[in-house]
Amino acid sequence: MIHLYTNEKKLIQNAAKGDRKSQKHLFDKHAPKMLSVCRQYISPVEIAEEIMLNGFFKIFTKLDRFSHQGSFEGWVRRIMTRECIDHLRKKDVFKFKDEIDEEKIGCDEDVQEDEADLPLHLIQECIDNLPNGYKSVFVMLTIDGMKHREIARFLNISENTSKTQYRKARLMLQEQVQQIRKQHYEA
Amino acid sequence: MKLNNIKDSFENRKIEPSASAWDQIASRLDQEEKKDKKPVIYWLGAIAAALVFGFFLYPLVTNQIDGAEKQSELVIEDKKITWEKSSHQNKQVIPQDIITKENEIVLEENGNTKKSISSEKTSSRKKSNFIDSKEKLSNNKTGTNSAIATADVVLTAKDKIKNNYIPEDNSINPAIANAKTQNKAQTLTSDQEMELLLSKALENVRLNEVAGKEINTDRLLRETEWDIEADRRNRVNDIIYDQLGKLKSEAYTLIGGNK
Repeated sequence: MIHLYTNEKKLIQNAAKGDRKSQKHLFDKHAPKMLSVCRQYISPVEIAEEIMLNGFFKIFTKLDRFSHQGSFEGWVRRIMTRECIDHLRKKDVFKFKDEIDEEKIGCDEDVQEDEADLPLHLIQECIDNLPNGYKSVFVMLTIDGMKHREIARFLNISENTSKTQYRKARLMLQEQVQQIRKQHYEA
Repeated sequence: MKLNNIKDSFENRKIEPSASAWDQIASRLDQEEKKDKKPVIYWLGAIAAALVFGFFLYPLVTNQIDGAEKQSELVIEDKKITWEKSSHQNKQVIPQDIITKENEIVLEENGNTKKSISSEKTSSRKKSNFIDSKEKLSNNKTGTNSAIATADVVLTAKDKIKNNYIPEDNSINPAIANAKTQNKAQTLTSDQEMELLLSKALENVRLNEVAGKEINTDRLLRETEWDIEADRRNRVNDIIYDQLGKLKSEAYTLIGGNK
């Protein structure tokens, strides 16, 4: 493990100096996962790839800012998430609603069970159908493991708004899963 | 599958990017590096040009200061010359004292012939000094354009005249000479008369030359300054063109090397 870590550290140091081979090595290693991260926020995959390339370009030009204190993958993932959010903001489709009807939302566990039955590509399809505000909060909280406080800071919204967006996202997902299941059984 | 499982399955998911993905990033990075390098070349060029200009402007500025100092010195010397000239003229204006002194000498001569002979000897010695100074003047006149040197020679001649010759010897002053010739008409020989006439003529020549020199020094100074200035300009222009040519060629080689 230590050997691998030192190797990656050397790779990062060389890439920061502009060494193309090291940069390519890092790209080949992290690009597939990062494209998956971008795809969680953005569809179709072609645009997600474009956003990912922008993210990698920024990473390689500002690699000297990486402090080697946390994991490199975590640092890259965070940059990719920010790049995706910026892209959604530029498209002016990033709107949040604070209204919440707690009674209509239902239980989280029920939603989990509904989501659990579906394969990954169908879940991704359901996530793609969510409004950008809901989708971002849902992906950040469920997949990236961020907390509401972090999400609020990241998206420049209040914690309550983050919670509301998440619950609304779950409600919409539940509806979508039920619809897909109906279609599946009917077929 | 629970929420954690969804998270894990998404985190482990991999989507292969297109084959041209890396090439796109590499080309963008290359362009960025070129952009970063260009300002460095421009900065280097600007610094080199500034150094070249500074290197060649510094001596020009210092020379101008020196030239101004020399000019002020020359002006002071010219003033000295004119002042001395005016003082000499003043001496010419008051011939009465000298005439009375001369009369006294003549009276003494009547009483004691030896004294008059000795005074004539001293005056002839001083005349020879004066002739030396005139020779120096005439030699320097045909020499170099150095106004300072001529001014110095004039000053030394002036000093000699002022300190030694003028106060006692009346032959320089035409009025004194006239009075002398009138008073000594009976006692002077033909050789002495010739000497007096010669000294009178030399005095006139000297005064004319001094007056002429003043005009010539100014003109010569201006002419030499113009010549020096033009020469400097030509030299600076040549050097600047050479350096700029070198810089251009270096910049082209650098840009060509980057490409």
